[in-house]
Amino acid sequence: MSSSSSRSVTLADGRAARTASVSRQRLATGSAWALLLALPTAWLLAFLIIPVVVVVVVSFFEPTLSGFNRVFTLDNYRLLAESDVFIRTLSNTVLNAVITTVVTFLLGFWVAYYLALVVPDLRRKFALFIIALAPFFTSFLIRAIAWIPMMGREGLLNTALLNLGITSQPLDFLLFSDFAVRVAMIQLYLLFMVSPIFFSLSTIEPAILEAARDSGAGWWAILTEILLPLARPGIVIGAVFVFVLSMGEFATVRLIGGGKTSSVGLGIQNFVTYIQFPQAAAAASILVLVTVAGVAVLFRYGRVAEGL
Amino acid sequence: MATIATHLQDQTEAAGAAASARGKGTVDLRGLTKRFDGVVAVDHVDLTVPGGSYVVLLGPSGCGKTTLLRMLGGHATIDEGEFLLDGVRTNDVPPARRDISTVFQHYGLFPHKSVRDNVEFGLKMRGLPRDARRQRAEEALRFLDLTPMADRRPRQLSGGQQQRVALARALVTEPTVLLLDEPLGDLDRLLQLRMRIELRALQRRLRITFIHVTHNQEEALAIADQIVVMQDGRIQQVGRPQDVYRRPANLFTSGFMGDNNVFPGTVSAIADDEVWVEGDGLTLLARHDGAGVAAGQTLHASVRASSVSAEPALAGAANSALPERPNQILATLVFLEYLGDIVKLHCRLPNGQTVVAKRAENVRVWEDLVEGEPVRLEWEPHDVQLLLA
Amino acid sequence: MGRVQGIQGGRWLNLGLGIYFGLILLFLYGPIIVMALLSFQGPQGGMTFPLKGVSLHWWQRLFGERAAELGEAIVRTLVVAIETGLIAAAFSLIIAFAYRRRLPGTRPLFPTVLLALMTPGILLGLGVSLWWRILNMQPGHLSLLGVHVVWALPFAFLVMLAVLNRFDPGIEESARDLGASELRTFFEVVFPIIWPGILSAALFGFTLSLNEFERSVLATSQNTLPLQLWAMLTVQIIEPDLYALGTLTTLITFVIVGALFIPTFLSQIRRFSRRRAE
Repeated sequence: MSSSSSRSVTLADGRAARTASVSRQRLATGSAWALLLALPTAWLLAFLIIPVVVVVVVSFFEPTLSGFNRVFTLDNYRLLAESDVFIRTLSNTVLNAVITTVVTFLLGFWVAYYLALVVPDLRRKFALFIIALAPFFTSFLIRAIAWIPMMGREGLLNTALLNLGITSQPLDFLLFSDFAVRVAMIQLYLLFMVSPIFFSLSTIEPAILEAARDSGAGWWAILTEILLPLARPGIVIGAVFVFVLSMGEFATVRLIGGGKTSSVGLGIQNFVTYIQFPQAAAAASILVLVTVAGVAVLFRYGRVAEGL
Repeated sequence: MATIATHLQDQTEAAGAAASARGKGTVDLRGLTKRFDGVVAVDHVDLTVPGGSYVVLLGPSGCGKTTLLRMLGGHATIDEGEFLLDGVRTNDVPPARRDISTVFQHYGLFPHKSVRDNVEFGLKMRGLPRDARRQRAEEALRFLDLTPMADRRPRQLSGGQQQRVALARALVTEPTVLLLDEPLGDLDRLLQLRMRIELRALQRRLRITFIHVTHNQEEALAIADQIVVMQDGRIQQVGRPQDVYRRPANLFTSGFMGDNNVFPGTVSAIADDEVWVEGDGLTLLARHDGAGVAAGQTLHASVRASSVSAEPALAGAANSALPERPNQILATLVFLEYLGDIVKLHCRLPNGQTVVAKRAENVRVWEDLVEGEPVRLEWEPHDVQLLLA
Repeated sequence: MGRVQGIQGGRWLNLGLGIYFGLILLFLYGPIIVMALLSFQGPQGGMTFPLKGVSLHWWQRLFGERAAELGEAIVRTLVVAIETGLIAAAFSLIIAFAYRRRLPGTRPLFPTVLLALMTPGILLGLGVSLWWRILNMQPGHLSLLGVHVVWALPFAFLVMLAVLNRFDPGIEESARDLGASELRTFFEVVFPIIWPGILSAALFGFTLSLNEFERSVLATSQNTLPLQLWAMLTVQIIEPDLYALGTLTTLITFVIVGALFIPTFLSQIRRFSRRRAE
């Protein structure tokens, strides 16, 4: 009797001790995780959140010759709003972004379609995808340099057109123009549109397409009734991606536009060069605002279409 | 789905009339062949499926049954041979224009469309105006008891409900042949058992041809009018369930149908309607007219487990008479498997082979048996099946 | 198994799409090919066609005089790239792991990481430089590294998510069941399986940082290779040895991309096709 009761006490003690050690371990694990997570969180705060906040804050500061004073003013915004140049630049930037987004979609959808649905072999599919993806990793500055020998007055395209007799004079607008900038941007951002659509299309069960064929759907019907609706998430993501990146564009505009065109991003850079930080910040804030508005529109379109 | 019966009266007549107007859904396959990267998946298959019957293609994975089904449905190309639907060559007709619909293995329901839109899809593709579409879809939904979920999305439905949607979608275009690719595979056991009966009832009401693919023997036996056993791209046996079960044509089929004891042996004598086979430690006597059998030929003899009786072996003298009598053998009971309705007795022969005897649970003879003890196994000559292939 | 065989549209459409794909590839690779060709320009040649002779002149110049000029920038670019790769991989591992376990505090992290993807580079660059200014510091190595990691993190995170998604949680649980602590489970069980994914994430970060430019412009006062290139381009000091430089960096990038993707995708494909074959 006494032995069994002392044994039960030991068991209970053991269980309690084990529970205590488990919860201690859990606490240790919990605090270890908290520490681990703090690192990227702090980093993101420091290099993502705070910079954006700083920009917005500084946009309300008074500019000085060497920087800014912490005095609240709305002048920076007022000046931009009254500046024809800025309005034109902003419109041009938005226009470029919209054109780039639309064209990359029209061109890119078929690339994604080809990769996801026409290429039968999984191995070949990914191989081709990587081949298409590779240029994205290269420096786009490099790709921009190569634009000149291709599109310049003495460039490949012009020479070819002249030799073929299609034109009698070299086409000037192929380089250092809005057109050139847009083509370059399309080339840069095409993959950002193709990738999400490719992944969306790849997740479609083949049985769904077969069932559609079985029910009598032709190619067009499958495209409009099945593929486009199911690819919608990918399309929206791709569009948002391309739109945002295009809005922030400045290097392509500078190198390939050659001063003939401008973008808000370039404007910001110019402001910084002239140590006009608050103006730069104001321009950047406006850029962000317009970009966010555009993204909201895209998301709204994505959700509305979902209901259909 | 018990209410199906009440909805089916008018449907049945209309469907039956429509089916016979268009052709009964007779399928003729002649030398049908398909190759994949040099492997022959379907090997010169000849088959005739009478219109309005329920045929099950049965076989293990990789036997070619699914490929064959896909060829019928138009989702795989036919390399050689002829496929005739009601006498019309259908090899190259695209799936949309065949009077054949497929219910896919995991249903392939359109996730972004409601149940109703899924079902209407085939009619939409045929260009039916909206009202006519809606009405016919409504009928199909009622037919399969789906009306309360008509506006839900597939992911909100249970497996059984999804299957019914797949059925409705396939049937709304009034095909003469319905192909089903492992339709019960995704369902849990209880649901499987229920849905078997429903499918069978459905086919009976619609009176169209159902061709159903499965690897589940029990399922095939339960529903089919005709079972087509396949292996290695070839048909092993075609017949009614009872024929395939009781008289498997060859070694593969007998093994696949399960619960068959197979004894290798040599033909020792042929008499009027008897064939004697000398096996390893036992003699078998089969009721057989001797056709295709020659003395000295090696073959396999199979006896269904349910034909084998098992009794506790009598000790001593009575045993000495045994080796001379055919269709008997002494064995040791190794494992008594109690399965509720039936009891399976796994017995080991002196030569190491395991023989299974199957008894109904309420025939209490097996209660006298003890694991590890000797038993006497016996069966009748007419239960011995000679497997020539 | 060949089930997904030329699904719809027929042979002509598929062929047309294939040709279209080829044209797009030409479009994407065009500048690179042109640049590679022109890097072999003769000594008298300029930046455009036609080639006035074929020579290694500009390549020699690249490895000669230019190397000295660019040396410092190249070194810094490499250093930052390596650091970015390592940090991005580590961070993405932590976040993806925590996200998978639904640890408290991870829910806001996920959209924040994606936000990093959607923020225009110049905005971040401006913000970082302003902030450094407020703190009376000169933007240098840390600020540069900061924005590079922010840029690389979403990509590394997506890679990590994909890797961890196909990682059976049952493996961890059985290790735990057998008595292994959290740390030991990770090192002895999890890491050996997912290390290719971690390597991919690191390489991804490395490559992205190598060519990163838009964020770097304002985020640092120091020099990196892309920034140096930018300076040269905008001041129009361009000669064919830049083509050689471009070709070289592109080749290196391609090699890394190949190293990055081949193992990951091969094993993903094996997983994928196993599931599909059922």
